Amino acid sequence: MIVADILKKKGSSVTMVRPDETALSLSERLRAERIGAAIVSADSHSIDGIVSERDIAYGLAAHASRLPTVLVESLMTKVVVVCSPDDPINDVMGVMTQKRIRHLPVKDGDDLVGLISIGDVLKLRLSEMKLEADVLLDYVRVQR
Amino acid sequence: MVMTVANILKIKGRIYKSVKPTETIREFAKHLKDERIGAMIVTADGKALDGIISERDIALGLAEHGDRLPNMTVSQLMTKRVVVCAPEDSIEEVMDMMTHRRIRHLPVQDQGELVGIVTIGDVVKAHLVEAHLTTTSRLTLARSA
Repeated sequence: MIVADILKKKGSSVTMVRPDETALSLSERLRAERIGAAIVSADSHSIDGIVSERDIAYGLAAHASRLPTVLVESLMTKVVVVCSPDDPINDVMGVMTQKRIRHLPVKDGDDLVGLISIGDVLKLRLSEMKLEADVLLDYVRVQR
Repeated sequence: MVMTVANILKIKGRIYKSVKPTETIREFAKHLKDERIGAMIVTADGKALDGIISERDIALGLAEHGDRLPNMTVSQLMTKRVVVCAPEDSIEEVMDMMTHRRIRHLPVQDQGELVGIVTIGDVVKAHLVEAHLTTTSRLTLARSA
């Protein structure tokens, strides 16, 4: 199982916000789209950063009631870890746990082709495990 | 051999971070940042599970409450009906709960007593170990057959 298997199910659409959008507008986007992170891009193509629920939460500690007007560019993570469609799921799980990150943009060469979350990874592994269990059951039945 | 929640707690410890329902959201946000975590148990007396509150509640709460958010209390924003797991639950069961309910933190209760919390990160980590062990034991089985 590889990252491309996740994208096959979830699609390659990525929610993008501009660096000059406010935290309030980011929060509205996350809520409307029921997601936990967005890619930050000024030109809708290159990745300037990634911004997540965590950045808003930690931002509240620093900015308090000024937070709604704080710009995304001052909350986002600028050094973004990415993965590729060919990466095995186990490698991605390792990266996510070691670096304590929950969202990885997927890049195919220079193109952004998706954004996967730790929840997506878990969901895929779960369906894989159920499949393995079914295969084992079939095997046992055949042996009888 | 099936890995359980108890195995995770053995590694990470029977600990959890808690916040009082009367604390403000700003105080809660500071705790999260200081501890570098994403959620906390809400308890008034340090024992009873009154609720759970996460970074998601802040992130989404901002859209609804705007600049009033930092002065609201934890009890106003927390999730009161908390989904919990037990030490004897398997990793797979917990994976299932987290995936279907779209939650990333599960308090662990042992016969009504709060004994810890497991995160989606803990579960993924444990699953990686389990997958490795399973492969190894299958190989051993295959060799001995």
